[in-house]
Amino acid sequence: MKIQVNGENRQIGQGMTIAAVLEGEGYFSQSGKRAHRIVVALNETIVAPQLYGQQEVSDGDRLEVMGAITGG
Amino acid sequence: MNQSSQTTAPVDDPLVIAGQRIPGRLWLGTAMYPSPQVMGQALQAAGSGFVTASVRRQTARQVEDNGHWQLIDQWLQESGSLLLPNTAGCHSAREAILMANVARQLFDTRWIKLEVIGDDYSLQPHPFQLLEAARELIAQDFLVLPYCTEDLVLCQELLSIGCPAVMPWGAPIGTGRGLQNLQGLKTLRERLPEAVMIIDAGIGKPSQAMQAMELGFDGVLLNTAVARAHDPVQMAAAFAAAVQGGRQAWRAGLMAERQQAVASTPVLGMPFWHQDGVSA
Repeated sequence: MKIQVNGENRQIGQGMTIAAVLEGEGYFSQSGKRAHRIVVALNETIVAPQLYGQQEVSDGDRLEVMGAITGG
Repeated sequence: MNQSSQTTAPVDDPLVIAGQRIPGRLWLGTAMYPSPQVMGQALQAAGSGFVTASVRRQTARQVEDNGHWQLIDQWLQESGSLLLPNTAGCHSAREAILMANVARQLFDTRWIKLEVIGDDYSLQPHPFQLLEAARELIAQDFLVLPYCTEDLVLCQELLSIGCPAVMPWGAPIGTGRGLQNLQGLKTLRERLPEAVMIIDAGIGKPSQAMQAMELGFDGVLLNTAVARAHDPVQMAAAFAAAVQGGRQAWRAGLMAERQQAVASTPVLGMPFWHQDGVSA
């Protein structure tokens, strides 16, 4: 199925959780620890980190992975 | 380490917003510095009360290699400065509310610099969307510091719905033109004497920051003027001194302007008084 991650198309398998998508995108360190300075939104709804491992993504979903940047 | 902030917000003249003591009247943005190290030194030289940051999409690599953010984070822990996330780039209340919530989760703070842009050319705030977003975010327990114009009625409304301060622009973001509508800003200060008001955006020179403080504004927030200076660290120090001087002048009470010249030196006792043309 097709989803978007930060506006870019991705082909992924059925039944993948947000955690699995994040892992595939490299947001986990080599030790398996998730980068703590990110916030994830699924279809413009913020997802609590404790739900990453439970929430499955569906065809057409839009996932945003956001972090801190400098600003004025 | 935070010596400058102690001078810009001394013990007998604290800046308090929403019951919280803000450790400086000069607030700095964190964008556009030549390196994270220079940014860190500039923040230190300024003794910044708040430092601003924002939220954007990031790849895993960008999250990992975020040197600027790591330095901001370290600065916040060491200095006592506060983080003020912004909603820069939002054009509607809906976008701004969503981004504010992302920022709250990311940075673990209730403070938000609320920006809703109404015109892409001038980056002028959208007053109606701003008010709508502010109302909703206050209901969600945010401490909303709105970036707004110097419109008196808009500022009154923002304060009346619960914004603990307002942040009228001096000039459009990044222009460095200083206080474009001096009379409007004076009126704002006169009509809202109790409100905490920070001049946000458009400040290009320390003299302009000093002018804002001399008018009685409570602080200034700027970014480009420091980050784009030839020497950002020196410029941050110059702004800190200007803000301190302007605040001191405001507290001391400026003299009233006069139309006519008035000699400073007494005339009484002037020798040779009107003797020209008098023959011996």
